Amino acid sequence: MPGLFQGISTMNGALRAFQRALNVTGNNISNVNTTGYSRQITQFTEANPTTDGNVMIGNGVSASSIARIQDQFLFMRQIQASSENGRLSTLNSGLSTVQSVTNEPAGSGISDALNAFFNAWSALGSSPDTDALRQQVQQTGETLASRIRGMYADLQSQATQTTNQISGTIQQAQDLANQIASMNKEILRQGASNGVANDLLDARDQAVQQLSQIMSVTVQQHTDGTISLYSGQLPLVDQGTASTIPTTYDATSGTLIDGGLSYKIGSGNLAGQFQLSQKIASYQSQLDTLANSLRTEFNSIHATGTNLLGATGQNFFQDVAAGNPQTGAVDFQVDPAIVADTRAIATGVSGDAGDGGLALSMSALRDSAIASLGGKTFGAFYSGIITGIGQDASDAQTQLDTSNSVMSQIGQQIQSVSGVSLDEEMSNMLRFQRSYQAAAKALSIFDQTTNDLINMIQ
Amino acid sequence: MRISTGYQYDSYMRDIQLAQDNLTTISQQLATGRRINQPSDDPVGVGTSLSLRSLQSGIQQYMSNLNTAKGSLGYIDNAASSMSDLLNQAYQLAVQGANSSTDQTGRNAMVQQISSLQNQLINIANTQGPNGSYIFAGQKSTTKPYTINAGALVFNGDTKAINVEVGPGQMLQTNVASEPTISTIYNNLEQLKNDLTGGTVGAISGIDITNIQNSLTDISNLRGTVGARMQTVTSMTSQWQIRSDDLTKNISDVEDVDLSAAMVQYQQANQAYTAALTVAGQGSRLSLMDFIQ
Repeated sequence: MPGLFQGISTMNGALRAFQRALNVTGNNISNVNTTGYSRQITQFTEANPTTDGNVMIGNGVSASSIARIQDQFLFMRQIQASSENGRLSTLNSGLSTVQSVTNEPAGSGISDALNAFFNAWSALGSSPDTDALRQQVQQTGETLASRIRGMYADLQSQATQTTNQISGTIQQAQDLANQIASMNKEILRQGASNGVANDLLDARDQAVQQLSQIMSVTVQQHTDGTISLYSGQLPLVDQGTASTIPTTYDATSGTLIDGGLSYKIGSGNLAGQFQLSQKIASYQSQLDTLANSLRTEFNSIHATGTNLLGATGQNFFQDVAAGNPQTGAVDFQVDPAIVADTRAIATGVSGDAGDGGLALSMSALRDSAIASLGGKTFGAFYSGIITGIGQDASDAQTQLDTSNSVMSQIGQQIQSVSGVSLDEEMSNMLRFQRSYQAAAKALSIFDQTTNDLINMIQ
Repeated sequence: MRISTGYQYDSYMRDIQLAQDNLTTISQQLATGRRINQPSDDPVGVGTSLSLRSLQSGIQQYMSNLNTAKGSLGYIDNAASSMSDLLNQAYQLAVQGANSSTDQTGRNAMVQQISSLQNQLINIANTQGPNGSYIFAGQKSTTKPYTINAGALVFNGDTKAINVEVGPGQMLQTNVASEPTISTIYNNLEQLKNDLTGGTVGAISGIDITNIQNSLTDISNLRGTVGARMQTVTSMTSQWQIRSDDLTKNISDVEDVDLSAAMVQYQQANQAYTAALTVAGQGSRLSLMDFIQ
């Protein structure tokens, strides 16, 4: 049978519940700017009723739990999209650096140097006995060679930087996997003793999202609240245990290698870095082809001439002995003999001062289809490299733009579900405040009633 | 749809940033006047621009070569003109020498004049061009082509062509084969000297005058050739100039901003930016808090 003080006890419970609800609302308001915060709501349930004879009398309210409002499906979409976004943003920023090293279209790039070099030969061929024009050929040759070397070296330093980043990125993924595993343990421990650990779940989701920027992540939920993570076939976290992520890799195939096993990394920063390495290597190899073709084509003409020192067989660009593999762009330079003395430049077969025949043949290479360049001219081959770099950068930019809008769309949906609305919280605040005031008033009435009863006895 | 406060501010921010980005891009294009500032702005356009620039650069060189050719041909024409004058003087002397009213003393004096003409001829034949090369030496252009050895004229040059590149695969010869023309003139003058010394009037009027006339024709033909080439130089230069101007326009079409269109876009971007700022400024002022006492 309900006692005299039951009303006081009921109102006490209500005050506690509303107090808690106000606290939760306050917590929501406090975290309105916190990244990854999911809003929380107080879930009220009726307290167990008391039986009075055959009448059931309600015992008020209890704030049974604090729920974290989150849509698991949206979260999965978000981590999927953020892997692709990670890959594209890495690729995009890398490629935009690459295209800035080209100094094209109107800067001081290889294209200008190539034009100037051909022009110098044309001028020298047309006026072979002018010393100034010999110097012009030598200088434009050196400029061309140094620009090709320079671009190659810039690409090389980008490649090195990317390689360093790959190691760092793998380490970062390992750290995150470790964090997630230890959060799994903590969630298991708290969950067993004390209900749901909302802040830990938010923190773990954040970590999973960060990991998904590095590589694709699939999440397996366990009933005890812990999760396991995989990237394709590669195990990352198994509940409380983090796997060791392999640190050896093959950028060409885009795989991480663990002994005999290889795991394809298709998205995330890591995949972006692999792809960037590949792209840079392909640009470098195209520059190698350009440099080697310049060597072969110019030397094969130049060496047939007799220079003003009376020598034949002089190379214009430094080259290895026939039959050996050519060295590409890395050490592409004008032959030291020509750098030392412009008289080493041969303009004709006869060696006569006025014989510009060979110089004109070299000038004519400007418009020649070169077999080793796939039948393109030097200029067309080079502009093909630039168009390729531009196309890659522009594709990455376009795809990144798309991916960004997908990300922001998902972000909006998540915000719509999980984000804190200050208007909503203010209105809840009012509601709980009013409820609290009403419960307090009711409590004071019960108190008055009890008081009246006690005063009767005096 | 439930709108959270974070979403509200995020979207204000996103809209402002987007509008700002558009405005900055179009301002940059307007300020630089360039549509393509890096290869990714228009990869195909960059390829086109590079090949157009390369074409234009080649054409500039062809024009410069044509200018060189003009200089060389001008020197040759001058030299040939001097040779004509010299031959005309020799012709006058030969006609006087062949005249029976001229006595042997007079002829001997003429021999001196012819010798002087021969020296002038050698000087002209050894003319050096603007860069110090001998214009009548063929490809051996640094070798003095005409010297006297034991009283006879010796040719040390060759008769090979010196070409300049005036177009893709197109050559224009800027020298002339001076032999046998110059040696013939010299030897004919030598013959005239001998005939004057010997007083063989018949040979002077019969052979020497004809020889000089023939040489005048040779030189005239040579000047004709040079003149025709000069015309080629002039017409090609103007053709290339037109082509180069066209290319300048083509390059500008590919690389540069269409200013009027860009101004319109700038206005639009500016308005969009103003609108985004206004919405963010006005919209975020409203809150339930304003209505709670």
